[in-house]
Amino acid sequence: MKNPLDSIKCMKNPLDSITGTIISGLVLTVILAFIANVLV
Amino acid sequence: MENEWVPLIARWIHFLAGIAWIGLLYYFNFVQAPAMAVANADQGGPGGAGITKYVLPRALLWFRWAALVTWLAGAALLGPRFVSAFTLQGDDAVIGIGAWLGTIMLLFVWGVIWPNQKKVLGLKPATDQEKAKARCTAFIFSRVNVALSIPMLFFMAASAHSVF
Repeated sequence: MKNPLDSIKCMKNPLDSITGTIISGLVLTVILAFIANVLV
Repeated sequence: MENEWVPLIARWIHFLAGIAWIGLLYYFNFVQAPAMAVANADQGGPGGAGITKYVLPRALLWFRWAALVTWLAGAALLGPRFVSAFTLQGDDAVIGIGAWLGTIMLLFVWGVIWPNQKKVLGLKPATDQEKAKARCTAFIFSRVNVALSIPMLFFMAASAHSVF
């Protein structure tokens, strides 16, 4: 029997894909590294 | 001698629990979620109900407690540098950024992911609509934690190297 929850889709965003998630993490790393460079 | 053992044990526990936490986070996102999508789409296949019933509750148990132990061991490891790290003072700003990211991730685990997963697993009463919303919320915050783990681990590693 089909689970009724399976037919409901989440809102689309870049974190839907693993690739998008990793790229987001890498971009955030670069931004925070610049901030760290200013702070230290 | 005794003062050296405390940070060593704290670092050891921090590594052990951190590997369990982030390892399970990556398992959820890189293995289980894609596998569940395939299993649910596989008409006539066994489906993913067994994973949801038998694997997910145990994985979430280790996941959320490992997250807490990681944070507590990290706090113990910071010791007298705790305040300067969290207020991003001087050289401690590097580990401080990592600590803030880890703290945000911990709050997402206990404050968002776990409460929503309880609805998905049926541990907390919810309608089908509420369960669907809870599943989406838990999924997106789990993905946010994967994204945050990348800079978090960079800053944890960077604190041991004089790159800034």
